[in-house]
Amino acid sequence: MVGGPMAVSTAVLAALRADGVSVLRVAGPTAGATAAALAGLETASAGSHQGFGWDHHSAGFGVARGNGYQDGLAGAALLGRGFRGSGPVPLLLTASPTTLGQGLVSFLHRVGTRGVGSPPTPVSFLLVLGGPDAVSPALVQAMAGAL
Amino acid sequence: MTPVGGRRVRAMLAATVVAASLGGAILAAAVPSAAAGAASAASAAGPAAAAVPTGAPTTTVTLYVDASAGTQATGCTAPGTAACATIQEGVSAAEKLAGEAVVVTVAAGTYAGGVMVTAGDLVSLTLQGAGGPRTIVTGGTTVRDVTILSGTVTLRGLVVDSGRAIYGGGVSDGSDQPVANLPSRGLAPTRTGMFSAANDPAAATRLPSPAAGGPLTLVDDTFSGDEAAAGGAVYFAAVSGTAGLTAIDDTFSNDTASTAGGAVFVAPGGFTGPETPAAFADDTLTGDAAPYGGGILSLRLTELAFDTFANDTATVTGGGVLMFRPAIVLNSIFDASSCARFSEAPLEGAYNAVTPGTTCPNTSGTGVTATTLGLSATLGVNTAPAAPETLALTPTSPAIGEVPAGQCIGTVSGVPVTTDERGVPRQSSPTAACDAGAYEYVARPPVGPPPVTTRRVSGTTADATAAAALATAFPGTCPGTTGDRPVVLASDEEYADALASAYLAKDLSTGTLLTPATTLSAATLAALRTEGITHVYVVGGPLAVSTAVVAALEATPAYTCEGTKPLGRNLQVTRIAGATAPATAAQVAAFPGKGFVGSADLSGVYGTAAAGVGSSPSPSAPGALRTAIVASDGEFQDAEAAAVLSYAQDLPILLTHRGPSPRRPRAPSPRWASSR
Repeated sequence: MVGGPMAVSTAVLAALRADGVSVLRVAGPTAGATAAALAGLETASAGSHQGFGWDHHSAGFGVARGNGYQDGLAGAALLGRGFRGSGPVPLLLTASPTTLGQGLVSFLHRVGTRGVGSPPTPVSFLLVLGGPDAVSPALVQAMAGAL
Repeated sequence: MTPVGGRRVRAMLAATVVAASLGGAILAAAVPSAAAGAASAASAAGPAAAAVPTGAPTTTVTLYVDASAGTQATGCTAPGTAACATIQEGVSAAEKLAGEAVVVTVAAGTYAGGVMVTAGDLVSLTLQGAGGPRTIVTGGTTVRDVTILSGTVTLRGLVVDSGRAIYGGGVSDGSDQPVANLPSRGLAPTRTGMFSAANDPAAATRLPSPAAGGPLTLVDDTFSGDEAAAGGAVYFAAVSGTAGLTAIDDTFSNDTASTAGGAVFVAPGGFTGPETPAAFADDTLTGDAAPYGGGILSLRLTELAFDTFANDTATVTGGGVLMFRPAIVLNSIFDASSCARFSEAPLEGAYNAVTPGTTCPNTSGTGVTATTLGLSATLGVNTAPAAPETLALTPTSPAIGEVPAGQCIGTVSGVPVTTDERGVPRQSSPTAACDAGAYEYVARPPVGPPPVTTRRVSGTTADATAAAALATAFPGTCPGTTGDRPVVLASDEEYADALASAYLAKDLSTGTLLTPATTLSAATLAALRTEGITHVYVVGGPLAVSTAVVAALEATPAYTCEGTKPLGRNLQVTRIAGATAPATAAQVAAFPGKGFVGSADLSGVYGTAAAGVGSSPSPSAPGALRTAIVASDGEFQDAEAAAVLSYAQDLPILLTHRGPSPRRPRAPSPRWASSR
């Protein structure tokens, strides 16, 4: 379940459980934080059943504006297939074309200092979906610097 | 003469000695404040002004020598064809310019040695080479390269190669006997003379006589493969009160002497006045050899600062240096073979780097150990001949940072010398320490992860960005797996359909394009052609993607991959839609059939509040479970990133209203709306 209780209520979650469905809610207080949480799940180890174990050997992330969905959604095939032989690439969302947002900032800090996966791999690329009006060059620079 | 204690040495260093050590010419001026100390002999030196002729300032006259372009034998007044062809012609032209300061520029090329300089009538004479390995003077192993009979002379930017003489194979400030009279090996130099009559009965006749040369300055020169009985590369014997030897930024390599001073022999001075010094700064001496003083043998006051001695050898004593007079040795490196031997106190030394335990093996005089010279640690000097920078400091060399900030910059004739032999600044900041030896180590940036590369995938509109993303996702090919090249098309005005479409796009091995509800956008139309699309799967009802758009699609010709040729038929269109966004998502989820639903085992994160993952305390069955993604149908659009997960892991996305008592998202049995 992707999204917090304001997006999908606990009643829905409870109803699913009542039907015998195992539910994991992945959410943060903002769209950017939710995307970061999802990225954490995607890059976590599959072997320990912590996540999906996406390729760490050419670790990278996609990024799109979070207050406008078109660019990110249209990039699903590109990121899901991987870029230049990488595994699938998680999508991160900014708060706006010129703001990273707290959820993204703390995720970038964590990944920038620890790397991705186990054993940790440094992030090597950033795939920006959308033009400079959607994700400003300064924001791209800040993200690349933080990684 | 009173030996100087360590504390006194430090005080002097801070005040004057470093400055003094960097140039013989300035030494006499700089040392008087330290006259009560060790350099008492120097204190008797005349005023420094004596080294520079007084009177009206002179202009500098420039003459030109060019081995390849020069055609003249006299004059040498302009470059190119007006230049002279040999150094001797240039020097002879200069000698006619009495009272002038003359610079003879010598273009890159190879020039014959045997040059005789009589520059006593000039203010000064400079032979200026092209620097580096480019201007080469060679004695061809038969004659000395340059003989200086008189004058204040500077050699700059020259390679002085393969000279051969009794005294000073490369350069000497006096003439001497033919090389055939080379003394036999094994003669020992003495403190007062050089080769005593007892040692060498013929020594008197062999000495350069008279040694009338003036101050000699060597800057940025390379002396290599020169050979002599004394002073393989340089023999300096000026006896007048104002003459000193100054060597800055020079390299002496593989020079040999059969008796003493493999690279340099400094004969006694002071016979007709004060004893003027020899000074060596930022010089590298390597591979030089002689029985006594493989690198330098000096019989007068000598100062060494920022010099590197490596692989210099002596069969008797003093592989690096052998000093018979008081010496100041600062900020220099002596490797294991290049020991430093000092026969007369006092020796002043500080901030040197010396291989531990290295002393010069001999019986008399004062052997100097690593401890008295300064730093005692294994040296990190790269002596591998094939290394890119032989004699470069290795990153762990103790010579790095050995010299404290206050001792890094000296002056020569009032001009600060701030760099090492190569020209690399000694200090990164005024408060930074610097390195011993002629090579200043520059740390390379730490090796970290390669920089993050960024690539932007975009178009001028959202639809164009979607087209760019599709093209990037299928580089060099077209979407689809068979002759059928499908694409998914969703509204660019509504979130839910495009989100759900990722699962379908994966099943079809394609991606998603976007369009406004009422008209097909130009960017999307272009992408349909260039991607060679044959089949469009429209996700969403007529309110999301109008019937007019579908009609336009069905009237659009399909093209071959790359869009070069029409296939002769139009696009095929399939609409997948429900009455609501969740219903459409359910249709999409059902389209590929349940066998396509991906599985995930996330039992490891169930019941935990893993970092960044919303807590959902719930027991869960372990093992791989067929999995779907549940998200809001659009009131909150925060599941955008889930589209990637859906695509990558084949997880259908089911949509729901927020609740609290919503219709449960339900995947219907596989069926879908037919086209239109």
